[in-house]
Amino acid sequence: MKNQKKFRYSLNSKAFIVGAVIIVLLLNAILISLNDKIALEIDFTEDKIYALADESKEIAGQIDEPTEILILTSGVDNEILSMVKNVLGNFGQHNSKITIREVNVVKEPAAVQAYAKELETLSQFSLIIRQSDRYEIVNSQDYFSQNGFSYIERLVTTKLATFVDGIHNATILFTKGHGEQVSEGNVGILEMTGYEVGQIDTLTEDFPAAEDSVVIISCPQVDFSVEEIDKLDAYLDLGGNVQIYFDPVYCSTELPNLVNYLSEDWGLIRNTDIVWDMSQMIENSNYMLAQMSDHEITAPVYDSQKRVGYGPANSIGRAPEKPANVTIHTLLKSYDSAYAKADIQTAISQGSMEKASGDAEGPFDVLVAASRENENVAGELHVGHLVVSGSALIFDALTADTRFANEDILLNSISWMQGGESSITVRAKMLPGGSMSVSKTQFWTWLVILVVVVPLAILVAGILVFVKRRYK
Amino acid sequence: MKAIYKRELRAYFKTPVGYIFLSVFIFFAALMFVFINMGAQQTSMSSFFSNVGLIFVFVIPVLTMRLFSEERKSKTDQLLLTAPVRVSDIVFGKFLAATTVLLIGVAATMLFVPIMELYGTPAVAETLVGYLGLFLLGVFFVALGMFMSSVTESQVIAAVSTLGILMALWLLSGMSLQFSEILAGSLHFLGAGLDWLLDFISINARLYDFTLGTLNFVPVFYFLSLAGLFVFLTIRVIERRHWK
Amino acid sequence: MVEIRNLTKKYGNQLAVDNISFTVKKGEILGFLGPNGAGKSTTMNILTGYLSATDGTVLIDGYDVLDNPVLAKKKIGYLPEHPPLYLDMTVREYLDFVYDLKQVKEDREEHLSKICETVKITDVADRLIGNLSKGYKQRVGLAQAMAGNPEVLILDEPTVGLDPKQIIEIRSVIKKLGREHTVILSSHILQEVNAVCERLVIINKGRLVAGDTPENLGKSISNENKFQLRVAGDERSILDVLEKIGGIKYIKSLGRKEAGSIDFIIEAEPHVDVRASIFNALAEAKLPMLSLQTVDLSLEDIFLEVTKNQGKKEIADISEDEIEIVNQPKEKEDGAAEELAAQKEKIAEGADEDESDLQA
Repeated sequence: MKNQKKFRYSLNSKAFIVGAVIIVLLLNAILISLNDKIALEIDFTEDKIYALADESKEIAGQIDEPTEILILTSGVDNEILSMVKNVLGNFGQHNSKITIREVNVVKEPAAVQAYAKELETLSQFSLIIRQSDRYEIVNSQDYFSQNGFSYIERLVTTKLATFVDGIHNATILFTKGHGEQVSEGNVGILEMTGYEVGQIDTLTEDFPAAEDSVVIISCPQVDFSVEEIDKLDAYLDLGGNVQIYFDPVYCSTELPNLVNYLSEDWGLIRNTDIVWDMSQMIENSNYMLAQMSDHEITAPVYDSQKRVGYGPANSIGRAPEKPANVTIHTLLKSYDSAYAKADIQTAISQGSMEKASGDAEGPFDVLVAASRENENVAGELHVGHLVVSGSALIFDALTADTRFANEDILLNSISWMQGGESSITVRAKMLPGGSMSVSKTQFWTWLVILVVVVPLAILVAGILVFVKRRYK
Repeated sequence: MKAIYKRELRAYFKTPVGYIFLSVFIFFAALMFVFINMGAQQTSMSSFFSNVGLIFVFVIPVLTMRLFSEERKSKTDQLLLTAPVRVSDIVFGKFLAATTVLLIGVAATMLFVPIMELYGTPAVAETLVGYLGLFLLGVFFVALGMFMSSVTESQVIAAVSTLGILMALWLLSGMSLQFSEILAGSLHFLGAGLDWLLDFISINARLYDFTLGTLNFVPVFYFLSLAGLFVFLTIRVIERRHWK
Repeated sequence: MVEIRNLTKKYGNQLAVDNISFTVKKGEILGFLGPNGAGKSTTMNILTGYLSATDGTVLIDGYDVLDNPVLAKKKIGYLPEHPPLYLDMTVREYLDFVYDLKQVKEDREEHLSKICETVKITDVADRLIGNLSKGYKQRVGLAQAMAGNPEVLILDEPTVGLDPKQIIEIRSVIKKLGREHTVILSSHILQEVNAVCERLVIINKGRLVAGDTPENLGKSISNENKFQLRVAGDERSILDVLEKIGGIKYIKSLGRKEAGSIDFIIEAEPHVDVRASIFNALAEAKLPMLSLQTVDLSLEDIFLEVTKNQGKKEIADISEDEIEIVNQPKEKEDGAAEELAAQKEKIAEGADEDESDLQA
């Protein structure tokens, strides 16, 4: 009987050990393989990098055919891959039609054969999103901006949108031939949002169809001809959309035709002054803080904590008289503390941007939106949209920084022009961590304290305790 | 359990072991922090977290080597095992004591966060998740080390074998995905299986989730279940010795 | 209080404890006697739950050590052969720990200081155990066993390795403990257990060979007729004289221990006092007898006695060997004789030790 007892004990124990090991390993194996399919995590990142934005969910939810996202790897497992997998996993978790697969290009070169013509641009961790015979590429270089933002979700959502019927983004055309200076940040944001970005030579080419297009005149240095102005006006009459960016520094030339057109047909005056605001400078930049005015364009960010910045600007004034069919709204204006020097030459001759006597007192409008209703002979009502900025920098560097609302305003202005039809604007997300500034002295001080003093103190304490007790 | 925990914890600080552990751990962790974060002027500690586990590979054997081997050698296990306590209480008491010393070490390095606050704005929540991952990794290592200590009578063998296993785990997890390349071709099937296995035992892969700033249930379960498994195995080893 | 039924322990194929049964009554001091390697420590380790038996049951106050380990262990204080001491703790810290470990309910200060006084370690309470002498360590080990006032004290060779003074002290402590506790005391020295125990259990090679009170055992194993003799002169002539004396069962030469003299072990036939005849015979042959003393019974002697009836072959063989030496002394070289003497001395060591102990 006792023998049975022992037998039972030891058998139990052996079965137990093997069973426990197997159960633990099995459970882990199951969980690890489920990791990509079920969300079992809580996101503690400040910008919720690993949670899909509502926009992304909406787009991902509309994918109704099997879609595969390939992650190209070369056999290296690192944090970036983990992060990419984690973000992409969210798409898979949201819609089971979307599957994520790692492709080791070293091991399965055949898998990427089909994209041979893209191979030059493809690199480690580039993504290929494919649905039957269509595919889109997301390059890994575009994932992260230099100042620490992740664009993975945004890029993937934008690309996924191209597979969804009924989502059609406007074409955005930058005019050329007038010494325009186009901000790369501006173009980048628009492309990332899924707009097709191109150029238009207004002298030789016709304006596009009014709907689904936006024409941007960015910082021109050569005036438009009367013919071009006429074409522009006709385009606006048909419900076209135009954005014009002036700048007191980069394109301070007078543009009589364009400026007169704005004044006479839209009641907007581009001043040649230069607005500056010493007290609202944004640290480490040439930007100043602006105030938002409530409007359809600013509404989504009006109540948020986000700030908005503008560069040195021409103030945008109102003509004494404006055509009755035009409505004008201020989007951004400077703070009251702003002042305007007569022009850049005055600033140069004063040798300083400090406020001087003779400077005009703020606030000044720096970004305005105007719409013009026009009924054609057939009785159809067309609304043309115009956005005028006094600063070309307004949609430059700051647009990439999600802490500022500049990007929101740019994209919202475009969707406003599209009649409120919002574009897919998944915001870039701030990556964990940021920078800090540690001086050489501070670095060495902490090195000595943390690496030498603290461990040594602990060690000495240990030796003291040991020696003291030894002779007890 | 409380008595064992208390004695074990005191033993760490009445002998040089606890001090050596803390001193060496803080030395290397601080070295990494100062160079990775202060030197590169970044507040993100994810690189720190991915590397700091390597220190554990070397210092945790020191923490766990004596837990059971020393008791057996000096026959003090006779006191514990004939006292009116369960074997599981003995094992848990010791495990928790070693874990507490580990926690002290990890908590000490958490002072890096307020230091960064002086020069920038670190993301506190994300960093704390990283610290949690680091601690859980350590807990797993401690359980493994304790198990090795229960198998042998020699502290040296316990320490060296723990170091060997942890080192192997660490190197293997860095090697993930590369085996299959070597085996690519005719043995591809085998290579894929090996890849899966390597990914499964990859500590780094589990740790990344924490270093990214997400609290994922899977790696939390991974580390805790493996720690629990080794605690369980230790209990079994002690109980089976009773039957030998 | 302690009941052992059919206890068997196998290490692999080796039988360490072979079907042992005995009981210990409440308040009894039981001596557990056996030579080294007889299975004493194994049995005690099983009693205390450190090891488990291959077969058989141990009940401590009715609780099975295997089924109710915590309840059974609560009733036991155990001093293993090597006291389980943490050398890097002070005595006080160590006893504090044991107090906590055993979840003692009594007042900590009072209880521990009482124990310290009983085993006389109060003056070393704040010293590191590693720095204490062996005797003190043993007493700390004893203190540990006493913590929590367990009803049963199990002491495995509590006096081994101690000096005579320490042995006396520990022995008196154990006697004192025996008034309130049930004590099981193991030893390989008969006198040791004889001095304190009310009852003896003897085991050899894992088997129980005898169990009785010391008096009863003593009656059956008389040692009154075994002597150690030292005579000045050469071995041959002394033996010539001794061999002629009637009533001597056997003579064994132990060789030279003092210049010019030879030592012998002589055993007489039962109930025959040969001392006078030896003295007279030697005096007649002008061989001065330097000393004559009775030999204390070594455990081996007891085994010889108690197992003789069981017809243990190994033991019988040894006896024949010894007789052979006596019969063929000429052929033995001096060196060989010395070697043998040394061997015999080793066997008698236990007894010697005890002797010096008594003198002290």
